[in-house]
Amino acid sequence: MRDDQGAPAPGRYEIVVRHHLGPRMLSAFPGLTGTHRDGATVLTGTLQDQKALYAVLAKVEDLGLELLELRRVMPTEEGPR
Amino acid sequence: MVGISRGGEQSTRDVGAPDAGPPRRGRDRHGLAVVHPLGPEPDSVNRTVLRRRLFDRLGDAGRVTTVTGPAGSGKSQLVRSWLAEAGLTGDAAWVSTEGSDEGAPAFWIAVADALAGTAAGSRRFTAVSAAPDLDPWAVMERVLAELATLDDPVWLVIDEADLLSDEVLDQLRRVLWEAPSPLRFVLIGRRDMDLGLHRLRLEGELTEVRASDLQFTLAEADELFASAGVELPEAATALLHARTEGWAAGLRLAALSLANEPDPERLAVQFSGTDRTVAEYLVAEVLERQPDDVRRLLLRTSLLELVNGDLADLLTGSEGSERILEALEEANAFVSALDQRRAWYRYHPLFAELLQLELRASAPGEEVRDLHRAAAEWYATHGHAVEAVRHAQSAGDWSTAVRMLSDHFFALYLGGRGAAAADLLAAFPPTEVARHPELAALFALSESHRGSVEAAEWHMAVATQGETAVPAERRGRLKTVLAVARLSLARRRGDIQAVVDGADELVGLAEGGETAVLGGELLAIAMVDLGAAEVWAGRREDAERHLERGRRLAQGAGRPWLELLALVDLAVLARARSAHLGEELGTCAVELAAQHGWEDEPEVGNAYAVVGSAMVLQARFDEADEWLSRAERVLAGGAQPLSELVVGNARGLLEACRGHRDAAVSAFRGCQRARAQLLPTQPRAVRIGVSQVAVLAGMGETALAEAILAELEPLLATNQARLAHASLLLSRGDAPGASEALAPVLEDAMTLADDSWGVQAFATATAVRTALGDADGASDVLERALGCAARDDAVVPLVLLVPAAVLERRARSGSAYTTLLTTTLRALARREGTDSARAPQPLVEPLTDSEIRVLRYLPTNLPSPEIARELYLSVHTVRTHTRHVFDKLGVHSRSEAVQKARALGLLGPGVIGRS
Repeated sequence: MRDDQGAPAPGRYEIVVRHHLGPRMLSAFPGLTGTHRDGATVLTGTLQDQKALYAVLAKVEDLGLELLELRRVMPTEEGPR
Repeated sequence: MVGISRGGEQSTRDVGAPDAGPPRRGRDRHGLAVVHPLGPEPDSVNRTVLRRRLFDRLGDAGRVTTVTGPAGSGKSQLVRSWLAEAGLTGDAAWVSTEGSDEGAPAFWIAVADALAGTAAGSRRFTAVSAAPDLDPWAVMERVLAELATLDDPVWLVIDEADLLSDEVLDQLRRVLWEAPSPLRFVLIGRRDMDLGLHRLRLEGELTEVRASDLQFTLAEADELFASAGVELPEAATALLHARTEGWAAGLRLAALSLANEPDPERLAVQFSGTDRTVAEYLVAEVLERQPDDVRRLLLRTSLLELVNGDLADLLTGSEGSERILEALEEANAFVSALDQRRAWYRYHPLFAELLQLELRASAPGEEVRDLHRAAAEWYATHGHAVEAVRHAQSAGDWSTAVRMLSDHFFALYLGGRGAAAADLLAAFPPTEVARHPELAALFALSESHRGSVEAAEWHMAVATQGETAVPAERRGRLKTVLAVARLSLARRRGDIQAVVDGADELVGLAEGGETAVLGGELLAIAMVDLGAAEVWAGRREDAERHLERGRRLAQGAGRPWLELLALVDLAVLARARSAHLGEELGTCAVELAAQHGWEDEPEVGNAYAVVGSAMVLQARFDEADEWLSRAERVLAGGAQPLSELVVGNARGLLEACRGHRDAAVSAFRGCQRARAQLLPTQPRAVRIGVSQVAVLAGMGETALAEAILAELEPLLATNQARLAHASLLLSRGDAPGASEALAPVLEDAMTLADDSWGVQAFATATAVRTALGDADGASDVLERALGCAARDDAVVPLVLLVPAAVLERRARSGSAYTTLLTTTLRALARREGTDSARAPQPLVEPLTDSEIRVLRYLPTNLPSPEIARELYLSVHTVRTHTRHVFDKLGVHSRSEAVQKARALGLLGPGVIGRS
């Protein structure tokens, strides 16, 4: 999705990983908020561009976490926090 | 085997205690971790779970094995333990990028080094030293070439293969295909790599070990706990196994936290009850159970790529870190020693990552920055520039980082770590560029080297503007960096005046003491760059002076790559003046290149060209063939027009002397493009061109000869043009016209001062005299030609331009140059010999030597009495010989005899084509 000038716009993302991330793990994802749900953690936040998104995914991999879901959240459909 | 880099790297030292030799495992000079194939230390073998089912798969594997799985799934451990268990450690080479992109050449150098450490490889692989601008394909091709000679199986393990750059992946794809079957690949990575593996899969050559395979089975988990000394009831093990889902790191962490635990079962149950991520939970458990000093060490050193007792002491503010590290290494798989002496250690990346999270959580930000700062200083003091800068950057100490990078930039670049240096540059936030003129200057340098002219100029402007803001003691360095950047840009633009100015500036700075830190290196760069530009501009004497100086400086500074560049250019220069000197310097250059494994670099191709062409000139054809072939192979890229021209010309002369007419013509034709690029500035191109006109005219290829002359004509001096025209006239049978054209040339002392022009002029004159029937005159002029040819032993022009008969006559009547004459005649004979060896219908009864001597006179206008006088024989004898020649050739006239003899290769094409 691009803005008026055609530059890629930042987006809000939800990244769901298996298990509950404690404060330590969460601190590895500055700029993202973590919510626990049943057996998983939802990381939510705004990421500047694709590069930032891939950096987050790489970190998930580095930490040995299992990626369950990746969603781009459109402004209108932002779920309950 | 750790990087066997010779010379070149005096300021960036290898990992290891300052006075000890390089570790067998660890980072080598290229920053790549290369593990000597000794496998895990004997102790850890006992503690390693032997995963037999996977060992079997690895043992039965095809040519290529991939081991893919998430972080901490035990991939590297698996391969290492398999190699050890199977007794293959002496036959395995291990390369790992460990996340740093040192560039493609560095990767292949590390591969070659690692292969050289294997039993089979040590007999074949020679080390390649890192140097700036090495051609990665050339290095990779060398690896392939060496691989071709393997007959015993050898394993190449590439760890963290998913982190390889696209460029390296590209090359690796090719290597996978072209490597001989004794070479087995094991590629370890976190995900599939784009290497065309599907084809291998189809052919059954690929073995894949994937995440699901890597998961520990319950039995294996049992074994793991047992070997860690943890006693658990079955149910508890099952719980842990289920909770971790067989994840190796999880199991190991669990084992760590449960070791020495009085009630492991309770903990196991507790752990499985949580929803926490395995890693976070268990690392916390493990840390909690460590003694304070151990915990402190683990946390505070977690941000280091490589840990050393000394450095750890510094960061923890204590002593005895060495002992702790040793104990840790023995106790768990997350801390590995990088060398036998256990001076350097590395943490498993996942473990380090988790420790860092804990550190940041438990220590205030300032403290973490202090750690980075301290690490930066330590690394800088111990000569690890890249790590030093990284930590300074992590500390947010931009000024320090800039200073460190600036201090080591040239050393990194000259040591072949340009890619790492560029990465470091890129890690600075753009806002810092404006604040640090020195940083802007480094950007300018990096960009000018890469050819990004606009960006470089922009950064140069920024840097220059900020000059006054820079502290006085750093100003000299700033100026120097900018001067080198300007020089680099000037070279790129081919602006010789700007190069001269730039070099002068550098010289001024160096002599003003600004370059104390780098010693002669900068001056060496300046001199070599300047010399190269002057060679291009045709300023021979200046070029020679500067190159000589550059060579000495490079030697003194221990920079063999620079020395090589200077030496090659000196050889090129020398060749124009003297074949002997050119050969000597060229051979010297090639030897230097060979010492460092740089034989396939395009720059060295110029040296092969010089030596090859000198050998051709002297009719040392077999040797020359070898050198020319090497040159042709290495120069295939096409970036060195002068050498292309030299090689093409030499090849043409070689083939012409061997009687391979088509090959010769094709080689000469191939010179056109290179020549077009070189005219008008290169006098050598003109010289070669005129010589080609004569040779081609003599071969009867008048059309091509005329075309070349037409190209050259506007650039030729009057007498040079006359000389060329003379050859053409002669080939058209207009001997009087040729004589007239030639006359002023033979009086022109200035042109003749250059021996190579002299040889051509007098040799042509010899042919003209002979065509006019003036045998005596021909013989006299030949002596003058020999005089010009003597210094360089320039046999080939004589072979191609002088009629054989005249040479023989001269040999008999005595000459001051008998050796030269003999060599020439021998070359002629060999040529004819070669021809007859390829003759379609060899003579039933071959001609005797005397008959051949007479045969040589048959193409001339000389009647038998004249021939008799020439050969000091009676007329009767000559007539007898002639009759025999006719008989044996099955012909009835002179012209037929000549034709047949030529077809049989008994007579060369000859300058005089009419009888």
